[in-house]
Amino acid sequence: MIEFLNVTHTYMNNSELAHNAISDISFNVSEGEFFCIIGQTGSGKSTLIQHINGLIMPTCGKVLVDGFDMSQKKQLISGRRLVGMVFQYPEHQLFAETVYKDIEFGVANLGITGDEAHERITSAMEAVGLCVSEFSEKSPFDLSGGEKRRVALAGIIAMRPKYLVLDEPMAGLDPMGRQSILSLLQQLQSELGITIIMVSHSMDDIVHVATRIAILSRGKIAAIGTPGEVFKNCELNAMGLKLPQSIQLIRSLRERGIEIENDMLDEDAIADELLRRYLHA
Amino acid sequence: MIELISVSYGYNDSEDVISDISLTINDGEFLAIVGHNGSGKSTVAKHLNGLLLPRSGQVYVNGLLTSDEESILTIRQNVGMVFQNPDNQIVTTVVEEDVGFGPENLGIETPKIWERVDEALELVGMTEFRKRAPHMLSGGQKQRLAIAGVLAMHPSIIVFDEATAMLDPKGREDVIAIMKDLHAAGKTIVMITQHMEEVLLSDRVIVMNAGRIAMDGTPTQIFENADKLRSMGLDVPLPVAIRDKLNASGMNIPASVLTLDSLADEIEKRLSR
Repeated sequence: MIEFLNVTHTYMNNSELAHNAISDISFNVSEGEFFCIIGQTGSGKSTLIQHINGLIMPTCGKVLVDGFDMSQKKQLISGRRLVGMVFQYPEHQLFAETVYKDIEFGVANLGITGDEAHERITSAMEAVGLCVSEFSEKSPFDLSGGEKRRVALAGIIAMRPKYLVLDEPMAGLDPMGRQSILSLLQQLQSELGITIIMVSHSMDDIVHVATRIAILSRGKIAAIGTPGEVFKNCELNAMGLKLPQSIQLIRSLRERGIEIENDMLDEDAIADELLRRYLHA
Repeated sequence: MIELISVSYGYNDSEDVISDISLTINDGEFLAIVGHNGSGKSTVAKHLNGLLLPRSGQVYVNGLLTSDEESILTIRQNVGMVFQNPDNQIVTTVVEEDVGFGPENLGIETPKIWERVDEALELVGMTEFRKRAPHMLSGGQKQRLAIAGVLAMHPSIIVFDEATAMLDPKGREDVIAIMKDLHAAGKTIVMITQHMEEVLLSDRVIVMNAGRIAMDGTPTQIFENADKLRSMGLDVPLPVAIRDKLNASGMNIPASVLTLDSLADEIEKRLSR
């Protein structure tokens, strides 16, 4: 479990420019969740997730990863091994001559070599849908944008993190690319049991996958819960965010006197419900 | 007007990235170019102001050939480009100076430059930030600044190459509002995008696939073909997906229904018979 206990992070503390990027944040992420964090630029999302593997430390409060206190040096090392971080545009961090060597880098840093390393690298490639025989010896720089991102993800997955933290993993991809990264993450969650923590701007993408959503506004959690709960109660527009289109449609129909269950987030479910009424009208 | 005549291009000695592209972009048009990653849409965009020159074929901008060195400055002044990453498009340390950078390079006299700077900042709603340092701005504000820099050149055609891809929803909305304003003011807009909702702003859509033009039509025409778009790695906006599903069971919603509001109107009519 990941626990945030009253976490505040102040940039440029003890100076006139001091400001709290996040203030007094408390929440938990349980094992097996697909937890999404949304918020406008500047709402504190990136600051928040960098605490999860101890890249930055709370100014006040505590972050615990499976009980390891990430502000304590020795515990930090143990905690960090559990957390894989995928930053925005991770393909910019590819560097090796071949796809295989790029993925090997993180594994080797864990001190893993030989057969086990090979097994981890090939299974990570399979997990992200890169054919081992076709891609191993290719240069990562000859690949398409979507493929490069898969290589970057495989590099993290090969380290077998228990928690995978991703910052806007679909940014800049075409609709199919977005969909395939999203399905891949869902698969990692459901089949390998990896806990996913994902930052995203796109409501339409996360509405189908998230077990819970936290909405961040001005460094505080404005709402937290299942997608149904959050979208029912929260005034997202005021926070510079947009409702998922499926919810916008439900609200728009309600204004016209057609009531549909608000927790029906899936477009197919909405269409089915409308058809049922149409055919019985 | 921009005319591409059988344009092909490839990097170095490699295969063609775009092949045999013929396309006319008319004055005052709002053209969207879509396609999956690697379909060649950005390569087409870079031909529109001579950033890339065709391997074979020609590109004319208002009658001037992009491969003619004598014409290239006039062409670049006429066709402004806004790119994906705002950080790569900012050159100075003060907002207003950044906007003045382009016209200064055109050799325009100083008072006229300031007139252009004032006007451009006003158009993108950035006047209050004119004395700020660009690196302190948000992504959306930086992108508005980049647009102001382009506008100060007084181009007749503006190409937005995935200019909203790195922005949050608010920043994206701001940039879209500016595109609409510029189009209403008579500028020709070419928008390269991955976002199918943005396509609805345009009056004509080009779909690129494997380096060729696969579809060319109005948004209504393009979105009548959801399956074909999906087969090319693209998608349709959610209202269109729901519309198609309802129509498959006989709800007969017209193909011109592309937005949530018009879809809700049509559903209301059919459920309250």
